Amino acid sequence: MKASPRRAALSAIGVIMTVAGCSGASGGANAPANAGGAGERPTAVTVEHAMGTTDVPCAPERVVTLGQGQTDSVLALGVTPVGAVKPWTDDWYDYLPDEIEQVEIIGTELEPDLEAIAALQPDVILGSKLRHEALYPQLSQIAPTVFSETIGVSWKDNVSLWADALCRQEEGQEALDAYEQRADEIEARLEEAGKADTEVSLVRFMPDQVRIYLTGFPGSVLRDAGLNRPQDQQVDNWDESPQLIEISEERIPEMDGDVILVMVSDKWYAQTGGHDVDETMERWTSTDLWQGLSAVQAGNVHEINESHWNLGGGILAATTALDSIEDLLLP
Amino acid sequence: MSLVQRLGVTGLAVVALVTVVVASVAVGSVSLPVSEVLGALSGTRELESHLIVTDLRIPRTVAGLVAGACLAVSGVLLQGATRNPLASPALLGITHGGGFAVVVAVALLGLPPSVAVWAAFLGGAAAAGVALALATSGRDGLSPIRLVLSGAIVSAVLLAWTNALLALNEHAADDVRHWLAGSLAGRDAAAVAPLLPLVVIALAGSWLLAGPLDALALGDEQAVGLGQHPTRVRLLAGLVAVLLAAVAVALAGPIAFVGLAVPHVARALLRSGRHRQVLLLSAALGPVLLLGADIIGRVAARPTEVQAGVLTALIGAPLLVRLAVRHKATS
Repeated sequence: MKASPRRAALSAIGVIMTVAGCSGASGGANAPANAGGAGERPTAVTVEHAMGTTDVPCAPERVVTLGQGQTDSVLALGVTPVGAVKPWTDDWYDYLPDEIEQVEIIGTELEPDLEAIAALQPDVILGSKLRHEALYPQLSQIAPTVFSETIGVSWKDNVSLWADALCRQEEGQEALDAYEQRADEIEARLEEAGKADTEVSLVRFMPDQVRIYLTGFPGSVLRDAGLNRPQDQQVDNWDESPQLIEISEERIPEMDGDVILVMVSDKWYAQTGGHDVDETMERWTSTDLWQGLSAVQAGNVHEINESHWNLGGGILAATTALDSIEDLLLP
Repeated sequence: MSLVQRLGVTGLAVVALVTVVVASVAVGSVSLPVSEVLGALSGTRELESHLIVTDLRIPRTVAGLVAGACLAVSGVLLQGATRNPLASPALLGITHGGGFAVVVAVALLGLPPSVAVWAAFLGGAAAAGVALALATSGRDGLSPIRLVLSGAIVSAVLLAWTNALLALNEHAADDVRHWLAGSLAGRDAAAVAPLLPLVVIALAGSWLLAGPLDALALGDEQAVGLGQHPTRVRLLAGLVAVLLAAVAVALAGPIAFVGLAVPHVARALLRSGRHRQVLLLSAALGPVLLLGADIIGRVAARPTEVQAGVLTALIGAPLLVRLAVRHKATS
């Protein structure tokens, strides 16, 4: 993920569904067309998305996903993509269901392999304007292509968008409802435990920079669980704020909170103290400045796995992140 | 230049040096009240601000002082020894040679970071040796233009090798990325101490070489007439220069332009090329440029920082152009 401030998707992207074959422009075209019998699906959907309007024949079976969040959320909707871009890590994220192993890798999120995508003969391609705007014309020639505006903080809107593009609007709504319910449940239990006011700091040490996450995907999960953020990590305008800030060592005090969650990689879990991942973390956390933070003094620093907290970026990741909040704060 | 003028220049340099040192302790990514900075200087370690000053700002100030002086003096020696106004640690391949050797030693061979200075010395000496051999191989001998071209070739090759190594070995890349940026951030004061004897010896050597280098400036025949051994003087000056540059590389990574620009500034201010005076003034102005760049980098991109190496290049390049233009106009 890039450090540049990203604007969140401005609003949920509207979707108009029409029955293909009916002349699309006729009177009731704006009404959802799947109002018919039980489980009956329309023969096509017209999806409004970041690049315009696209018709997708229903229901697409061969789905190609060009981002981590797309792959995750499509799996959550009960579809296994035929092709997906490589995860940011060497292996697939642990939290993903086993079906992920059947997925063919078609390049990286930053450089998808167009030939490999075409060879899969997809029914629909799901990407984002943020990452793939320049590729849109070529992708559209391969298959109907639907883009979200951005990734990360807008993940919930994106789940609805992918659900629409897959003709699985109901499944999308169910998945989001289940997530909200789980988040509410955790919020209620935090309140019961007197931990509703816990201020949670969210940081990540990387080889060449150190970040504080303000909003973004991980920030939205904390927010959904009803947790607070330390003064220095609160934002005035959720949608317009930068998702994260990069900080210098002098700003270690801004990392403090009641609890500090430190995002670490799978690799870190595999070989704690490994030479490679966290020279930076070692250097920063060995300073007296870090050692003096109230969360450190109180022993409230927890490592969290960046796979589901940051890299995955879909609804399965968000749900897994909620689980880890439960494990850490509600033992 | 009269004695009074010379004293004036020296006085100004000392004032500038004291100013940047004070600013380097007082100014940073976080704004601190003066009273707390003073408190920290008197040894208090109660507040976070005290720790910021004592643990972060003072070490990087010390590192900047030493690295800046080493680079500038190294530049004076190289320019004197080669009688080439464009000679400098970076242009002769010493910086990139040192960088390459450190990458090999620390990242690939896994040697402890304390060997970095020796790796940088060997790598820098080898690179400068190759550049010199290339430069003297032709029929017209060691012409300024040949020397600069040879240095550029050696630097380019070493930089390519360094990048290739880093591209092939991601883990190694993570280890040294911070280091290769050319930065004073996160310097450990303890890393400076073991290098100090080396620095003192090298600076004393420079002082002793000043007279012979003055003789060399008159031409080899004149120098022989004055009882000097030009080759021996060149070799010694080269060795001391490489050692100084290696210390700087080990302390701050590759920093551009300080070694090239500062000696020119010193000569322009003194209106003299007498090595003893130029050395003294350069040793004071080197840290002024490096720490000045570092301080700008700390406040330019809050809440994060820009590496000093990026800024020395930004500041140093126009400075050099101006000097070159003025030099042309007056000569």
